[in-house]
Amino acid sequence: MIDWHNAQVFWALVQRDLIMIKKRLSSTLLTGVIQITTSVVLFGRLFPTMGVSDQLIAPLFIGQACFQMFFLGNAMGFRTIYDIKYSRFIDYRLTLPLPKRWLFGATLLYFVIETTIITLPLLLLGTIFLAPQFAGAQPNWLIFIITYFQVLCMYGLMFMSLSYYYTPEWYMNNIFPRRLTLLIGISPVFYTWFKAYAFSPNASLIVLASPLTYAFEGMRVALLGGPNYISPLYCIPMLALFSGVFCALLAYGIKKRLDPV
Amino acid sequence: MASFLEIKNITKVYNPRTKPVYALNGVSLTIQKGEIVALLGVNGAGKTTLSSILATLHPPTSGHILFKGASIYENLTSYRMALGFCPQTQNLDPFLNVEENLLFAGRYYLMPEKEIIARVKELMDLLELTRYATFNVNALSGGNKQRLLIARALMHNPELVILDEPTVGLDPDIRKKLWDIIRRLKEHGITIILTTHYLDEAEYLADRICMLSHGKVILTQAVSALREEHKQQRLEDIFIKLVHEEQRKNP
Repeated sequence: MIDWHNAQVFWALVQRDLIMIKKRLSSTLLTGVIQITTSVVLFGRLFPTMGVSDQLIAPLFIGQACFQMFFLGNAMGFRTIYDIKYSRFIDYRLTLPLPKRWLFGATLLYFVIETTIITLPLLLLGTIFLAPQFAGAQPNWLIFIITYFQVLCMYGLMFMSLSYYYTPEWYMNNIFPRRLTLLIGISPVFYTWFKAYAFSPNASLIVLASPLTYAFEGMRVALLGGPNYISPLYCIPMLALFSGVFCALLAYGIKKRLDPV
Repeated sequence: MASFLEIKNITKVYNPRTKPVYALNGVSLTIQKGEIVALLGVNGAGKTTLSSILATLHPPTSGHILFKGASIYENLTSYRMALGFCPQTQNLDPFLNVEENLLFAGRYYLMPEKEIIARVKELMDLLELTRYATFNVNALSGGNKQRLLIARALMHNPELVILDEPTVGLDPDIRKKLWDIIRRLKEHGITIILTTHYLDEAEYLADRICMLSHGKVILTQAVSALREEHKQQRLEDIFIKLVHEEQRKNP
């Protein structure tokens, strides 16, 4: 049963986040417009002139859009790391009359709302502007909505958990350039998992170990359909599994770093 | 009748498995309603650790804290509703302006909207923040940030306020103004735990002094009784004497 008191404090936190989103709306929309414009020009105009086939452009575009979500998660994670080390606004929030799982739930919800404002139009308008490249796609909108929000939650939990283990300096100098770049490298941003499998079955097993694989492939299969991508029957449970792992890591990181009540 | 706040044998140990460091070692203290108690001690004495535990930022390793006779951990929410915390770090909401910081401080504590608006006005007047209402907090001076922190802690009319070094780094005239505000809080029956390095501050504001050293309470006494007992006029002299004595005992 939902505790009414907690729900009310949670709603106050969400209201504060909505004000923050409103204040940053012009900046957020500008980011979205830049991303949509560059993506459409890149995938709709430049890539075809370079000889990239229409069949490849749609999955590449979805991979890139999903990658943007990843970067927004990275930005949120870095803001959190900075706050833990320097601003300590988190200390104020930890003393509010609200259990901490609700508090971190509000942080995750804020990330989901803000990232949706930027990336959902990117994905939806992209499919319209790149209609020739999306011809023949068989989108399943229900699967898309489930996968999209699962991906956002997984990214949110992943970057929130990372932020409780590292200092800003270590994150900038080591985690991002070495570990996250490596993670991106083994994930199918610019290829599909089946192509990786055709190239090397052993290498494709490594690709399966990356949580990003299920994000990219899940979004592709939801928006494009067909047998060329990992089935949502695998992607959805795997996204849930990785979200669970990151949630556990987050809980441990919070305990270790903040030692909250 | 139960005391307002009872701290019973609190211990806080960092690195308990590897290199145990006792930030607090068996601290006990009883605070009555409407009192101002100053926590004094040199750096590393355990003042901030104690105030953080009382603010429910961190749990103690062992010991009990009773608020009106019941453990604060039994009903953490109601204890937090009664508590205002002004931390050492000026951790205001960087995305909101002065007025919004206070409005949300009221909303987080579920105050009715009408009451919030009246309270924001009252506190901005009291702490001379009215002309900065629409300023982003990052544009405020250190002194004004500190006033806003205090206003935020007072927003929901708490019964207990913890002020962790509220005047550190402030100009003497602003310090004096904040002292007057803290004194006025006492007149309204608010209980205050004040962590400070400034002995003149403790002397001016506190009813009782709790002196900490190496995570232990070495003395708890009313300022007047302390002066009488040690035959010294100034708290500073007594403090120096006690610190030296403690250093001799625990080199």
